[in-house]
Amino acid sequence: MINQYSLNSPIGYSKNPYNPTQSPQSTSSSALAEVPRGSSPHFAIPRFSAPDSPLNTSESYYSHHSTPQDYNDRATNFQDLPFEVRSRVAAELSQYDCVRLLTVSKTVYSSTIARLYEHIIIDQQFDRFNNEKEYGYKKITMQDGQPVASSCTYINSAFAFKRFLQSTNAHTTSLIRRFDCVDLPDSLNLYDHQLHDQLLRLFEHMCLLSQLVWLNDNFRLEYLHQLPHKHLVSTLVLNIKFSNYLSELEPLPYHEDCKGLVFPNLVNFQIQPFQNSSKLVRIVNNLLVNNNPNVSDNLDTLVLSRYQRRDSTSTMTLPNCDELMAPGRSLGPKDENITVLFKGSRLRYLSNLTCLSLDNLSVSPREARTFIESVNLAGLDTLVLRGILEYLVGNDRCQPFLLEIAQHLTSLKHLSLDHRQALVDSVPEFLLCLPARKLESLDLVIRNNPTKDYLDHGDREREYYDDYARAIGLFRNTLTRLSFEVREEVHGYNDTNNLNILQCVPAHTSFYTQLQQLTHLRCLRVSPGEQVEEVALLVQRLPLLVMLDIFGNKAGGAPNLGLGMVHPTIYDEWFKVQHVALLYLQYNPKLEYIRINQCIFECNGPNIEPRNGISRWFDGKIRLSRSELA
Amino acid sequence: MSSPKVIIISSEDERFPVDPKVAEKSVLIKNMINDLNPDGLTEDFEIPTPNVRANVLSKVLEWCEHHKNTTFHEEEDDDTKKTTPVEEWDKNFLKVDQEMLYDIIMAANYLNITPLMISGCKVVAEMIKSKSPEELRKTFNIVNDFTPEEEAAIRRENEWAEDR
Repeated sequence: MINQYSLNSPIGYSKNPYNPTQSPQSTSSSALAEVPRGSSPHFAIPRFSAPDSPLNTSESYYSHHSTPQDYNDRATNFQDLPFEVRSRVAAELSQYDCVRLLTVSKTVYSSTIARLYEHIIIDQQFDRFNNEKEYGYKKITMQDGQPVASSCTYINSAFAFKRFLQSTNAHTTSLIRRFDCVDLPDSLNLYDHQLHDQLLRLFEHMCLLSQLVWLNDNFRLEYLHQLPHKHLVSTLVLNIKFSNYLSELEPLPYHEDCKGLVFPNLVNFQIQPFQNSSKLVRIVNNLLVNNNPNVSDNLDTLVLSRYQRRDSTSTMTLPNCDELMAPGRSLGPKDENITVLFKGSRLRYLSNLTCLSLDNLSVSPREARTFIESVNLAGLDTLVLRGILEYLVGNDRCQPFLLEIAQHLTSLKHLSLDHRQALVDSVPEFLLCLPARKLESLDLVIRNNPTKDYLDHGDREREYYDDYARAIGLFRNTLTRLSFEVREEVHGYNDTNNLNILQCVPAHTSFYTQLQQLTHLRCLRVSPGEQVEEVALLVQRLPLLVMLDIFGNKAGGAPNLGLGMVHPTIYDEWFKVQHVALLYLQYNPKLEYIRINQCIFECNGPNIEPRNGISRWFDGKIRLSRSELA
Repeated sequence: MSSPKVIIISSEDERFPVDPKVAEKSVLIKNMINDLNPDGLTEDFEIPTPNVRANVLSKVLEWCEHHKNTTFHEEEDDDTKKTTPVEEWDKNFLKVDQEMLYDIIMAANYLNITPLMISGCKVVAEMIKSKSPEELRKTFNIVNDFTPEEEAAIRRENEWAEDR
């Protein structure tokens, strides 16, 4: 097949000049030429106006909530519109337009100010020129099954953050309903006393806060203590890595401080990193359950990550795969096992959970029963089990953990599995056993290790990958998002550590051919290795595919050292791999975004444009991400 | 015999007979019809809307007629772009003078026709975008009732949210 773009011929060589005006389809007589082308938002209204506001206008929500009489008076002027209509207009504006609108008049100020403070997002990656939805001014989230819109205001610099802390007063702070600290500007030092005091004051005045997200390292539990109306908080997503929770969250009997940390209406609880099971139990008991017996019934989303922002490219794996085969051994609390979480803590049966994510815990086949008895698995819509170690313990012949739980997962739509086992791999069979064929997202990390001896035999290895493809194919009518990653552990690298390296699906299998039946796929993430042609054909056969993520050592074609000298620093990495992105675009012109390793391109007709600062958004689209779980 | 109609009566007592499907674009009217006719409409059904003038009602019903088969989705669909622009037909439909635009928005708010209300608000928002406070006052004929000190205080207070 002769293509205009080929994997190992970067653009820029004299043999392969880049000609953006030339349509790839018209260039060759290859099979590519046959590819057909182009084949009630709720707005939060402030409940009160603070009397101490320096700009306390005579207008308040109560005085301007429209009444039938309002409709008899014609609105001839923007100011004459009812308060809620003006608020809705403000909700359609960017923060920059809002700031300008505030100074127009007192009436306009009163209907605009709430929009500016409703949802504060601190994210140094925010760039107003990134046009993707994550960076939009309106976010829609589900609350009690209903979509709820909130208007976002971003802070992306240390200067703006400091000005925000300095200039907000009790009135404006009381308008904040959601506060997301996603990525603090690097130059901020939260250990600065003044900044710390200002933050404490900020939390003290957040009277209407319902969502708190803090993903940076420097969160402190003192902030939670300051919140005046904890009963309004429904979402807590916290990184407590460097918080002083160890001294504050005492083991039973409770430390006095913990009594103040009761969030009776919590439905979404996400914590990272819990580090070990005794700390996990402490966090769950003191921060989640505390004196709140209903939390187990209320909880909708539970995400517990052992490590902070799990690094998927980590090459070290603990323990050695040989240790996973430990007949006669039983799992204790030190194994960070699932029983410690559900039986060792004060959590009761989680009857209304729809989203569960557990990270780096160990299980054994026997613990499946505990899991089934602790969580209403039939209600789960999203299940994320990452870095799960399955020990073969005891001498009994229980079914593997996943097979035990499979039949209970009757509503599952989004699944992410990274499951380490010795001797066998129960994931394909688990997928086959799922009672409902409703999966929309599937994110699999396959862990191969030397104990799985079938991987050394050509035929059996082929069967193994074909089994996977067959199992994934069961969801051909619903699956819109697929991520498939294979990692192999190198035996004997070190006594205690296993080096695990990225692998790809072997060449002699029909894995990618079988995936062609997934015609509903919109997002695909794979590591093609040597099988570029197979993956390209797969991409060609997926009519709805719009996002493609290609990763792995060989994803960008042959290494290119020359370009580093020609275009130093500016989009250098993009230049090196753009020919590969164009190659895939040639196969499927409907693609909208292509990522080759870390370089994202946006497709624009036959051309591609490098994009920066949208990695998190892209990850969220292509994999089950933290932002989605939030 | 022709199928029963919903007759919507404007503030001037002008009568607008429309198909139930068209009238039910208004959640207010839909609930009214369902509550008062649990077995379905058997005869013409009159609904007075004393707050809506005839010229406005006629515009609103024109919108309802055009969108009678449209299914409106929430904005959280798979659309990757930041904002959902106003649909082209709605944009042209709402190319009216400011008073009429506000009347349509108020009527949509009163009759609970959320998609029309959102389109109207988006059109007003478009008028606001990228304008300075002075230009905004001129566009909307608003008198500045802030003292210069108050205006400076607001600017200072919200400086953090500005583009820099």
